[in-house]
Amino acid sequence: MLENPLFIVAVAVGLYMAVNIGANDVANAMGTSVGARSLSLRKAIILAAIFSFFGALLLGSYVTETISKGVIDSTYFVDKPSFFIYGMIAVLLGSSIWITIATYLKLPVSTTHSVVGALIGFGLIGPGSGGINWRVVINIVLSWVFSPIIGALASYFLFILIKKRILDVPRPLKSLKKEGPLLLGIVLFILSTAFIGGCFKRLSNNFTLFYPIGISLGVAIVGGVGAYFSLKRYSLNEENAYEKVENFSKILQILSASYVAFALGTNDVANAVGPIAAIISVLKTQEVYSQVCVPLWILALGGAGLVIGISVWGYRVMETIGKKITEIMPTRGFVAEFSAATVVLICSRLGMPISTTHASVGAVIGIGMARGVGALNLRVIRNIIFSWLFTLPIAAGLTMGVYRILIAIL
Amino acid sequence: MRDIIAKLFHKSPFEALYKHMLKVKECSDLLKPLIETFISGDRELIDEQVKAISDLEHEADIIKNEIREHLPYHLFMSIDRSDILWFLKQEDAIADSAEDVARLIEMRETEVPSELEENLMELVDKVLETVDSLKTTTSNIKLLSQSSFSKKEEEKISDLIKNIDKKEFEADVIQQNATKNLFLLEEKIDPVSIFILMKIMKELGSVADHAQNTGDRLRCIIAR
Repeated sequence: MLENPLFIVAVAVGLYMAVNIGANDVANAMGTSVGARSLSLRKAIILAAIFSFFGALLLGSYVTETISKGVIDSTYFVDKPSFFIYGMIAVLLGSSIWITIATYLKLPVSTTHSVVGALIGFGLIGPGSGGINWRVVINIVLSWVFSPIIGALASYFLFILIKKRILDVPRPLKSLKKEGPLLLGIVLFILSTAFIGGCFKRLSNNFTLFYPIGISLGVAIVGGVGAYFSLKRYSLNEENAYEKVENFSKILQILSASYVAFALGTNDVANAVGPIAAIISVLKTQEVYSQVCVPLWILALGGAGLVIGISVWGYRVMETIGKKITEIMPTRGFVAEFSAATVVLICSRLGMPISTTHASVGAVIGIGMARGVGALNLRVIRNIIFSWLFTLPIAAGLTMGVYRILIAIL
Repeated sequence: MRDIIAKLFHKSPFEALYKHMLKVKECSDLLKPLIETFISGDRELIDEQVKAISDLEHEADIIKNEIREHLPYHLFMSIDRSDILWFLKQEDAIADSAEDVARLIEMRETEVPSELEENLMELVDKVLETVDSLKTTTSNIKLLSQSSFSKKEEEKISDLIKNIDKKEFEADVIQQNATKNLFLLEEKIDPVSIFILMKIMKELGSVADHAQNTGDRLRCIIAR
């Protein structure tokens, strides 16, 4: 397999995509943490690298399967597997060319949309429109529409809840002492269930959520008790109460930043390694319709690409973003990250490739609806919709072109 | 994708609004030394003080325009955009009126009758107290946004606004009494002096009026 030059090309381009995602998208997902000064730039980069890597490794397989064999009906290639390989390479090249151009032109283009557009392009020029699972495509497009909306609703209600319980009360500090440990416990529980659940899924054959939930409950209780005692030290003097609430929220935002990085890893890694996984399954078996699971090392490779992107280029992007969003308060940033991460993680489990950044944008707007931020520029939404409309046909067209060229020269 | 999240965040106008408030207060606060000089009659010093007021009014204008320019239509804000613009307009009118007072004093050399001195000082003090209560009130907007418009903070501001109303009412009474006292002197001083002194007092009253109107706009902002 490794001596196949095409395979080397596929891995290289996939890695390039992963690096791109790490450099750009992670910073968007975690930007509010740096902006609100809940995390220093350095800590944000370290958490981003660790959690997105494990997200990719532990739960990256669901979306990877959708990309590798959900969109294109591979039975069309049973008697000509090499065309399937060319196609997937064209998908990788087509989408990464568009991502590169878009980054250069500073367009807000998502790698997810680019890859799905590229897959459609390959489907159209290879097997024809009958070779595309339109049902899957429609589900994916619907998830693009609904993920920001659900992100907005989730953060709206979560923020309203926090407001009702902690901010909009006669004595915010007293409420924080009561609600803070509970909130921290719940967040810890969810984050650790996702993480430990992923580990168990990888390690054991007959997987149940029993142990992960048990362990996570323990983690949550320890965290909650810790928070209880650290909050106990605060005096009951309500002066600067909101600032104290924000200070406590910085801890929550460290968790939510880790959570969103993890969620990003579970979803976005597929954009980079999905086509590679498809190629591997063909090369391994010389058949296209096999039901081979996504190999772990390919997810690890995608995760490594994310880490490289984060640590080499993500630093600068995160710094720029952090400097620009200093208006956000940790409570709000926490709610936005937590909601976006939850939406992304659910989509990952359902195998839906979505844009983490768009879910984050939706979540921030949800907080705006709850009057949690001063001013939001809604023109961004228009830009996002334009970028969808452009990305699908352009990535598809580029992929068709690359596919033609590959067929001609190989 | 780069910095799409950062583009989503627009600079919140609260901080700039407070900066404008401080500039307006700095400007109107100069009215007290100006009235003192007006009473003592040092023309040179008057010219200097009027220029200082006029400069500060101009600086407030610049801040006002900056805020306006940074509030495009497509913003999504926790406060209604037109409420902010109205608030700003009224707040800026405080500085405008202060400048008008200064110009009236500068325009004509007028002697302040000794019987009126006390009234004038009393009036300018009360007017500046009104502006000061407005400042105290607006300094609480930050808490309002931190608490995401909690009832407690809204009530606090609404109480503070009542305080502005009270001061403005007191300023009105002082202004009326001062005007009455001025007319008692109509035999002694020339009509043009009476005219200009009346106008000055009226305009001083306007400073307090605009402070009250600004408070009213703040009420609308809270009532959303």
